[in-house]
Amino acid sequence: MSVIRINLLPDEIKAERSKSSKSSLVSRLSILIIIVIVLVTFAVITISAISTVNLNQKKAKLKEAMDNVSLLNETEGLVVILKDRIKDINGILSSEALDGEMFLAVSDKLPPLVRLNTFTSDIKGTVNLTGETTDTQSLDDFLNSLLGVEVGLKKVEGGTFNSIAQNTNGVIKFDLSLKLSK
Amino acid sequence: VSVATNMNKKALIKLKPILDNPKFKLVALPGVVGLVVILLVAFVIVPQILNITKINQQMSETDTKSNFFESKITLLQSINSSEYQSDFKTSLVALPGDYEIPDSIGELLSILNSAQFKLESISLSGLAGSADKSVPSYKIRVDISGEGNNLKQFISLMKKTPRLMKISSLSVNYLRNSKDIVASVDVDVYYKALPGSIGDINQKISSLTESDKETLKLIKNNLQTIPIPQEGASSAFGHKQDPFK
Repeated sequence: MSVIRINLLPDEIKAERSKSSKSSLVSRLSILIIIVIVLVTFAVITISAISTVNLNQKKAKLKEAMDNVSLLNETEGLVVILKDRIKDINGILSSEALDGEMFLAVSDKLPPLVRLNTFTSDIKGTVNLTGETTDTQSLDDFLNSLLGVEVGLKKVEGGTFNSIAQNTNGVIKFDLSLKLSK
Repeated sequence: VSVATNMNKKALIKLKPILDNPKFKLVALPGVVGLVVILLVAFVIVPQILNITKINQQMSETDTKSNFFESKITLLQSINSSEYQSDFKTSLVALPGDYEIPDSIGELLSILNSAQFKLESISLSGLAGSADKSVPSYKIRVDISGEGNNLKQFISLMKKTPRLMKISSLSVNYLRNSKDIVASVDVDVYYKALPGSIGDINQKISSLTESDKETLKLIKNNLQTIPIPQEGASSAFGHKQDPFK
């Protein structure tokens, strides 16, 4: 059954009531907003305070850990210096001792009929050989056998005769420079 | 006091029409609320939110550092100090903290003796060191004589020296109608001063790797092959007491 409502109030009172209800609504909304913002403020301040406390706890823990590391600084020093020294040792061990290697390579390839008079080599990879032979083929074989020989990380790329001479006895004297790859 | 009270009353009388105005009543409370909201947001909420962000960042950094130090402590506590000290002594054999000239010369003479070479002369150079080298070295030049075939043995033994020494230059003269040679050998001898400080607490450390252990093992093996002559002990020099003879 439908209800019929009849407002018999005068128009002036109606307008006043309308204004009053609007004012009341605004007031309520304002109060609601102020409550919400105050709550948010408190929440933010509380979170900030808790975070500060947590941070201080973590800082204390960090300081404790740092103090513990400091107590072990003798061991740390030992480890650091030892590692550093081994790194240096490995660096030197991995670098080449070219001269010794080169001498061994030349000695291995030297044919019986070729005799060395001098062998000179330095760290820059300069290798110079002087010697003598009575057999040109042996000298040729010697040079060919040296080509491509690997000496450490380098390789014999070629050889240059600085001088080659034969005396009346048939002895061939040579001065040979070997070129190593860079 | 009475004058001031009168002035307040007058001001209230003047303001009364404004305060009674319904429009004013409608906007007064929202206005005050708005002002309070702006002030709270500007001076409390935003600064606090920024502060929380900063604190969170600091907490994250602190956590990272704490974890780093914790792992460092665990590693350091797991290290056997006596074993590392022994390894450190071994490393000092290969790379001493100072020139240690008597040791290096003694070792070199021991090798020459093993290879049956006669020492003709010996000289040192480069003791001033070089600033551009991470590992400084000095040079020992030895002029030697002996059988040519023994040079190979000398070179092989030079590779097994416990002390880090490397041939940097080799000059060999083969004597005519003889198996003997006269050679001049430059040997670089390495050393490195111990650091004055171990560096920063924040530096990373790691225990010895297998490769590091291999290097130490190599030095120990070399030490057994060519022992470093002790001061006053002649046994390491073999039968030849005076290498110049």
